[in-house]
Amino acid sequence: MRFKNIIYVIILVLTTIITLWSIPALVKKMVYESNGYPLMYYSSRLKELCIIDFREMKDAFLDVKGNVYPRSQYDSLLPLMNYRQLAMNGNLPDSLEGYAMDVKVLRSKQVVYRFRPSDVHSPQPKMGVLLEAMPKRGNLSLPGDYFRMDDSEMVFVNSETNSVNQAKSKMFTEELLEKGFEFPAKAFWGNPTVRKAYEEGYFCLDNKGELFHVKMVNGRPFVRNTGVSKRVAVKWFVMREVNDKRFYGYLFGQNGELGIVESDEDGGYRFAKMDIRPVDIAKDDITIMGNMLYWTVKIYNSKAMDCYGLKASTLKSLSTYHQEKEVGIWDKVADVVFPIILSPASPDNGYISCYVLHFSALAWILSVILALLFFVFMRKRLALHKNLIVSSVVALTGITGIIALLLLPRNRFE
Amino acid sequence: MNLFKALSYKEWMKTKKFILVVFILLAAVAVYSYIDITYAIRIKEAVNIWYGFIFQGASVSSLMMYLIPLSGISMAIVQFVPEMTNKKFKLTLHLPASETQLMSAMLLYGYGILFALYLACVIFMSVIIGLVLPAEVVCMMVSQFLPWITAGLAGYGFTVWICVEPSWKQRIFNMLISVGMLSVLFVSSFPETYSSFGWGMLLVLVSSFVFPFYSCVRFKQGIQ
Repeated sequence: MRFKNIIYVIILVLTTIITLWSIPALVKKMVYESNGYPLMYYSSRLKELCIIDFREMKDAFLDVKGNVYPRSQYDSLLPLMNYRQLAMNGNLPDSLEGYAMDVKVLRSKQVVYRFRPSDVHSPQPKMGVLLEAMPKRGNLSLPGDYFRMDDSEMVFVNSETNSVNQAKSKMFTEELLEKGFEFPAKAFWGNPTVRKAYEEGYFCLDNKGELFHVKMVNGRPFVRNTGVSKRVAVKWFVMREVNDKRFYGYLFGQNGELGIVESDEDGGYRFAKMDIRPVDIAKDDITIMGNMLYWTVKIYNSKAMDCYGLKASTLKSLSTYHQEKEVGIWDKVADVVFPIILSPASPDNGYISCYVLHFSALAWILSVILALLFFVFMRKRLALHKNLIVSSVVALTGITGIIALLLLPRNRFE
Repeated sequence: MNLFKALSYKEWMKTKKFILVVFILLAAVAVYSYIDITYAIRIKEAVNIWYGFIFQGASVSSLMMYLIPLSGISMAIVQFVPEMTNKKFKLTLHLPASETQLMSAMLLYGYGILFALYLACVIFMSVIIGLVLPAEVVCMMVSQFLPWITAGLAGYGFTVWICVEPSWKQRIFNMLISVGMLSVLFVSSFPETYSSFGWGMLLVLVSSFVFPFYSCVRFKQGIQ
């Protein structure tokens, strides 16, 4: 057959791509040990960020200045984090910084949020659901219809009949247009669950980049332009109906800003930016752990972690901490053995594609040496130009290329 | 009769019962999925069922994840194992046409039949599911089926590659490579996660068509 050698090269290249994914994944399963970042929390007693890693130090924890505290003081030095345990033991202080320590209040002021890049870079719901914001019976319930944002209208589809609810669609579309909303909508974000304290509906980004608040009150539309796009170009929004109703959710700006959209004194909307470094939502994971006095914001990726202790009322930074990622056994192995690692899945992206997860110059140099040895060893078994093709695959991919070659027929290039 | 018409007739004689079985199975699973969804709607209310599809990525028919790839693999076995017993495939390769043409004709017959079956299944399911679920969920279903359909078609090609391969040792290696190639299509079963991987699915599909020719040459050379 005329194309036999070309087909062999195609099989070799594709097999190598598969081994570049499967062999490192297998080795990682064998050697990987957790080397994640420690738990961070801003202590209201020490007025400093604490590093809590009981895997590393079994009986103690640190603050970022390097002071060591025994584990026995863990609860008392971090009272706003461990208030439940303190209350259970009867050790909850009466007040802190002039605020009464009431378990109910502490619980309502607690904020816990985790953001992953794959929250954004993954398939998003194509429809939304507007719950009744003022339910007659107290509990939130699904209304029986779902909405989609068409090019020129908001369409409600009745789930029982799978047909459009024309009257409701018209009512909401007219209200949106009256309040200045320009179709088509660029995005809409909500928190579609009945397991929350109350309903704030959806935040919709219109064609001009204006952020609108849309919810259903007593079966009628409530639409308002939040006006926050005057301060920040909206990239992403995460709706979170927090217990104390202080804010609507987290807003990510086009230039890496992160903040909350809270209600101002006049019942309007205000963007309160957090005093932190710019966030890259394609790469950075974020955790926010807040209490009534301080918020701890941790931004981390595969390279390093930045942590901030913020004042809860102003979101101004009180303390910062930077830590590089520790090099684990897997990182060391990968740096030496695998010049390149491919994968169809990425930890930062929910979509399947071909991701380059790792590149190591050291492993690549070793692969070139391996390829030279391979070339010398095979010089009498293979014609020169064929030996060059196979050796270059080994030079580019190292040990994974050799495994791919072993899987293919011996009598190559007859 | 034209050689390739005759060849297709030979393939049809070998596979017609199998095709009927796959057709019935696909139709049965499609109808079952519809019955299952309408049952769930009656019991748990449409609004809750829609919620699962729209927000939680529930699958319209998770059985298809197994049936579609297995039907492709079985089609190759039904079509090519009889050729390989007593090396009857040698007779086919001695027909008055090049081995590339003969192999292409046999492969395209298999791909064509499978594609027609899968296409009919997707269209049928889109219509019946569209009766009770919104267009968005039907689109999610089709996008979820795409990697499985690719796995069905590519599974067929890779199985031919394994069947036609004359050496047992190499057959095992071919199986390993095929499993690796197909597993790329099963990394995620969440709807629409493969929406930007069309080129990758096409690459797997094209390679599954190309690989069997290598085994065919080795078979013709009489490698043991």
